[in-house]
Amino acid sequence: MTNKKSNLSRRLTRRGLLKQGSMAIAGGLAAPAILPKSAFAQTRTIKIGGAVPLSGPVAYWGQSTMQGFVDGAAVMNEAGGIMIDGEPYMLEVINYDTKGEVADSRAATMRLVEQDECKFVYSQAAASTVGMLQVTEPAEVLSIVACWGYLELFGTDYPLHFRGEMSDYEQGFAYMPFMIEKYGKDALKSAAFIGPDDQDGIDCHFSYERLMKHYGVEQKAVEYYNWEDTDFYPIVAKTIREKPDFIVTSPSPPGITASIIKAAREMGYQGPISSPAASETETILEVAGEHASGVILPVTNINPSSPTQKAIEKRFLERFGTFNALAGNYSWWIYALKAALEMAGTATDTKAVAEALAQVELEDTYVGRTKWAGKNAYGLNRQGVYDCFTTTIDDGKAELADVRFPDLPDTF
Amino acid sequence: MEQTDRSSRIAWAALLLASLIAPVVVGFDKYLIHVGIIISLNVALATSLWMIWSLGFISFAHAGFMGIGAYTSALLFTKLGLSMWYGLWLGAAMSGAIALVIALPLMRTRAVYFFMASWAVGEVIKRNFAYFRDFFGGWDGVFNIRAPKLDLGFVEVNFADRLAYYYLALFFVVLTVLVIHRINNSRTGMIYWSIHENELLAQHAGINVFRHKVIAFTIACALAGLTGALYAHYQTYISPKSFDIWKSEFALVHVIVGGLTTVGGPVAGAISLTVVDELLRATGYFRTVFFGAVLIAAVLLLPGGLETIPGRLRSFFKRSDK
Repeated sequence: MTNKKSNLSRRLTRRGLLKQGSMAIAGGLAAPAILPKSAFAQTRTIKIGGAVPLSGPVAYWGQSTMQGFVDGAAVMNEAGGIMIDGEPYMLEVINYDTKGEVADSRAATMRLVEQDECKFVYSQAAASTVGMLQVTEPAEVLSIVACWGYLELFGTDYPLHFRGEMSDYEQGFAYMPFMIEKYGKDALKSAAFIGPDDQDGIDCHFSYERLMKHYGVEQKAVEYYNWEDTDFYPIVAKTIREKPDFIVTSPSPPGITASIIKAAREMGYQGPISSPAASETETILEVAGEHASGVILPVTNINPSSPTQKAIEKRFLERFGTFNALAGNYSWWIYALKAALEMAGTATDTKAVAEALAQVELEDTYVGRTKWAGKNAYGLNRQGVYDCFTTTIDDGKAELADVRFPDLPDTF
Repeated sequence: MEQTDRSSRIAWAALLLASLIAPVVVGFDKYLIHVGIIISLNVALATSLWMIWSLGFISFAHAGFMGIGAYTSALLFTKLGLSMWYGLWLGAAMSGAIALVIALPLMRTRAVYFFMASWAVGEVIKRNFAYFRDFFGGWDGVFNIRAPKLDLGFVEVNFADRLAYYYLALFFVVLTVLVIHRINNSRTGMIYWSIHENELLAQHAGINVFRHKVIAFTIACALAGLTGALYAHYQTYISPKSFDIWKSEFALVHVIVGGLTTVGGPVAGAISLTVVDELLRATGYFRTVFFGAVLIAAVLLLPGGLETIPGRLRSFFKRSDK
């Protein structure tokens, strides 16, 4: 007993714990650098890299994007991999954090391309996309991202660059017809825009302007907030003083959207408020409470109903312990890439895969039918468009109210 | 004391040698050379921030002055076609000139008031880059800031090559550290530390405290501007967000973890924390958490910072000898 006790106390000294702890930490730190290369060394593997914000203020978006790729790759690997030119390939997904910063994203992409030798990468949000593109196009690496702005970095000069998420512009051709049906055209003659005071906000305002012009809506006010702001009453007061028929908050996350809704309703504003970026209802209901009414949330499928949608929700819950509509929205990207790889018959010629990807149309995904469009606007079909699931919140209750494919103009 | 100086010289020489041969050691791995460039830039920024600390001040405007250097060099290149060879010096001069003007009121403040005022200065600089969209590119930033070429007659060096840029960055970080080291070890450096210890007493000893504070702040900001120009031509893209308060905060963390009393502190802090941050990149969501844990551990287990390690080792071995 004494011996046992002394052995135990010898094992559990502070010094010993510190030593073992530091060795464990060192091992943990080294593992991510070692594992990807060793774990897949024996099989034909296609590496897909994610340079995504996994920490920082836009981590929610980054996590959701990553989940789609991790889940999709696992499903495909369990099914025996993907067949390219008669050969099975397994998929390996490697993710690095960008903190949502340009320089960090450039660094993460360099690591993916130069060290991990990824030929296919994905990213999320404007800053990470800007950093990524500086590396991917010169290195002939195919990229799929969610980015609404920086249109000068999109199109014929970036032929390997795909934008898988519909921006507020493409969404508008679904939610505007829906709103016109719901409220009547006469009730939507003028609008106001509220967005963040940065490039995302400016780009979204540009999209909003084009959209409102298309639908003949007069623009009455434009207000920008700072990301650090917590009091939205001043800018909302200025906005509603102009008496717009409806307000668009873009690209505002759920918390800020909820604060804007709450402020507007408390100050007596009755018109609809549309938020093309919130893609979530819980936060809005929690923050805005009884004021959450007349809220339009495009690309927000809160009610997975088809077998595919239900299966995705179930798998995400099992794999990640959580599921949100945004993650569902991104889940089709990897299936489109799979189809393109199989169609192109190559895992290395990214130009051929890009040409194939532009032709891929999927019928049954979490977001319904998907395709790539934008040739008339950007010179190439590189913009993802898909069924827009619009959720509304009225009297504190959220429900899926509309599903339609965006009625894009011929000029798109 | 002599032995310490000798050890210190050996340590600096070893670090320089290690930096020179690092690309060979890593097998010219392009990504690791990139990490080396980032380390150099972080060392330069942290060291110049430390120079302001030697006066007893913590400046949150430092990234802003780095931004002034970066924007000056970037705009000279994109609007006038002047290469980085002009941008580096003009960027440093612009940062220094603006710092001089701002230092006149700023250096009259102390303690928490300086902290708040420097924070505001950094934020105003960033907001100006964003506000004057036509000139600075707004939030969109400035693209296509190319690295320069150097024609030596017998050979042309293209600094778009990462290895070449590594040695260029190394040259300038050595220059920055050397300048600050020389100032710190001179009579002027002693004056700065006397101001740091007791400003009032220094003034009563006949030191023109205000003048020294303004000059030191100006030099430190000019060096930050130089680092900014190097940063811009390496990253090839800059935006106001590249120079926000977080950049200053990270530089400050590098200084604190490295140590506050010698120029070796910020150098050690910037090198080690940049490497740690890079190792943690693959941990994704936990990156920030782990980084925070490493910081706390460093502060708790190594009070005084990494710069105290040689002294601790000496004491340990002396004890062992007995």
